Order: sequence, then C-alpha cells, then structure tokens
Amino acid sequence: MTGFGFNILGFGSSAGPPAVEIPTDTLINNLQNRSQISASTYIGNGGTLIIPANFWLWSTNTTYSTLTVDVDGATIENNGNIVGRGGAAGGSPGGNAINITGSGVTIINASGAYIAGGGGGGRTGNPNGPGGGGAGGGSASASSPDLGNPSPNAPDGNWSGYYYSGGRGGGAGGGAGSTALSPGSGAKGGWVLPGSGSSNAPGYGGYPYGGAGGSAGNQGTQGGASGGRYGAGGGGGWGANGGSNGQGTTGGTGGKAIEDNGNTYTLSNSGTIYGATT
Amino acid sequence: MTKTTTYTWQGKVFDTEAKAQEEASSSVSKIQKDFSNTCSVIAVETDIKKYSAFIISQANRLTSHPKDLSDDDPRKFSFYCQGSDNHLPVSALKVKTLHREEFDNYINKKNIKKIQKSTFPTRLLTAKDEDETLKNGEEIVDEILFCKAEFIYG
Repeated sequence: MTGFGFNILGFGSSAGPPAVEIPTDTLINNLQNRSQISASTYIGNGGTLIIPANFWLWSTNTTYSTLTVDVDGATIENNGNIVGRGGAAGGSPGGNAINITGSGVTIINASGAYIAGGGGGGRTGNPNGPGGGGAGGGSASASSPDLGNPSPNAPDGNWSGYYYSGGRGGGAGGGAGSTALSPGSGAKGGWVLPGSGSSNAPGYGGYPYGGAGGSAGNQGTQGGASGGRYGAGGGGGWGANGGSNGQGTTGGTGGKAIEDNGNTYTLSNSGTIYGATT
Repeated sequence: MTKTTTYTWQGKVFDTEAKAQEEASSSVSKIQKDFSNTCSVIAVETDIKKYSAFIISQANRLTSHPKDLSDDDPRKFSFYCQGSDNHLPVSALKVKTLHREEFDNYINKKNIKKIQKSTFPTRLLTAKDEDETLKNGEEIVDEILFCKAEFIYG
C-alpha cells in the first residue's frame, strides 16, 4: 500500500502544475465571461489554463489583445470563445484574440470552440456616412459587449424632410455601412459566433448604398458609388477586413486570431479559427 | 439640367472610359502582389508529444509562390488567406488548389472586372446638405462596363 501511494504521489508531481480553469466575471446575458487577461495571472511556467465551453473571453479595446500568453511552456485549452474587439466604424483595425509573448506555448482549440480576431471597421463614405463596425462590437460608442447577440440595426431617419439611409440591417458579423447625411450612423458589429453577414444599407434620394457587413471570416463589402458620392463600407466579419468605401479607400484590417510575435508555438485545432495565426 | 458622366474603377474616378481601362491595365501586378500579402503559407512540423498538434514557426514561412510547389512535396502546411478558413495541416497539392481558388475569389470580390459609368446632374458635385438629394425630374444612371485588363493567376 505504501508503494502504491508513493507511486501515485510520484505521478502527480511529475505531471507538472495543475490545470486552472478561468473564473467568470459578472455574467453578461447569462453567459460566463471575462475581459482581457494575461495567462500569468492564473498560471506559472508550464501551467495549463482552461477556458470552459460557452465561456466568452473578450476585450474592451482593440489596443489590447484578449488573452496574452506571457508564460513559458503554457498550454491554453480553449473550449469556449476567445475573441478580439471589433474595429470602430470609420476604418479602425480589429483587435487580436491571442497574443503570444512566452516561448514553447501550446494552443489547443477544441471541437466547437472559437478563436477569432475582431473584424475591421468599415471605411467612412461621403458625405458623412460612417462605415459599419467590425464583428466583436466595433463601434465608436460601444463599450460593453452584447454577448451572444447579432449586430443591431442602425436607425433610418430623415433630416429636414430628406431621407437618408442609416446603416440598416447589421448582421451577426460586421455591421452594415451607412450612406447617411449627418447624423447617420453605421451599425455596430455583433457578438455571435460564427455570425452571418448583413445586407447592404439601402440608399435613398440618389445616395449610393452602404456596404454589407461581412459574415465570419469575410470582409465587409464595398459601399456603392453614384452621382459623385460614395457609400461607406460594411464592417468586417470575425478576423476579416472592413469594407472599402465606394471611393476605394480600404477599411480597417481584421484582427489576428493568434499573434505569435515571432515565437514558435504549437497549435492543435479541432474547432474554428477566424483570422491569421501568425 | 447639365449632366456629368464619370467612370469609376476601384474607387478611382475618370472622365473617360479609356482612362479607366488604362488604370486597370497598369494595376495588374500591384493587385497580384496585394493578393499575395493577404495569404500566409507556413510549412509545419508534427508535434510528436501532443495529439494532432503542429509546430508553427514564421521561420518556415513559404517565400516562393505556392504554384511552384511540387505536387509530391512531403511537407505539411498551414494555409490562410484573408477571407478563407484556416487550414492545418494541408498537403502541397492542396495548398496549390486553395491558393488558386482564393485568387479567383479575391478578383471576384473586389469587383476588379467592372468599371462603373455614372451619369448624374452636375450640380451634385458641389451641392451641400438637403440639396444633395435628387429633385423632381433629376436622375442618376449607373451602368457597368467590362474591364478589359486580364488578372492572370501567378
């Protein structure tokens, strides 16, 4: 018996530090979640960090990657959703989902799990039509995530009796662009995985249409051009660029799923990844 | 009502179709380069210590054109182009097929083969605020012209 117990203890100590499951912050839409983190907050060198199924790991800002793996030899086991922040309307780039700064890192993306860069924002049109926000909540004014929900419609409206087209019909991926007279607004990006694209924002009164928001992994479409005016681009789907405006000015770049910063790492993917992995 | 006609290709506006066609023809190599920049092809190694895992290193990024890969190249690759799925691992032959498909998708999605001809009231060029919308009797006519430039893979 003593020998048996000794062996078990020996096995446990040779297996390295125990795996740590990331704890949730306050639920959003009844979904477990946490905003941007560093792995070193939870694990040390050689440790394993587990993201549970249906858990959303997200970022408040495109400046910050959602998960920074700053631990050597770390293993990240993702069973949920790790997503970068969507770029704001107007052509802002989307944020990265994972940022690897440690060496010897392993990323395991399990079946049914997602790693997705934020979508790029659609480029502004002329006159005054904002682009759509990228998937991942891209919007100049959006700060809190509406996890699990698609991009809402931006309002239509009229100005001094003349109709303009707002960025209607934003999809679960990127939001549609707008061809609005001021103060029109493009739709912000959605928080659904994988997420469908939206339809074009209709043009009124001779205005060209705003580009459609992209579905997951797909670029927002280009805005229309007509009569010397050009529509805004749609927001990019997860990991994809925002749409160009009708003049051809490109939208924001999509965020990476994994930024390796030149570090060699190991990837095992049985789930879905949107965006570049290097 | 005075009218203006413009020809737009990839967001650039010209006053004649010939100028738009010339711009497209002179942009062929740039567009091929832009496409290549959206793609990442990296030779990967199997991580023998983990199940179905592959080691990714930017040092193994493919620097030659994927079309030049040998069909029986034994290496496995990570393949990704903007707008495509991530593929890991794939054979050299599959990389060649995927890369060609993504090039065709890129050309189609960017509307590169279209020139838009627009005829509209000249006053719209300088109109502001509510005058920017069309008045009774005014119209904008848009036509799509075929771009003659050939965007050949490779």
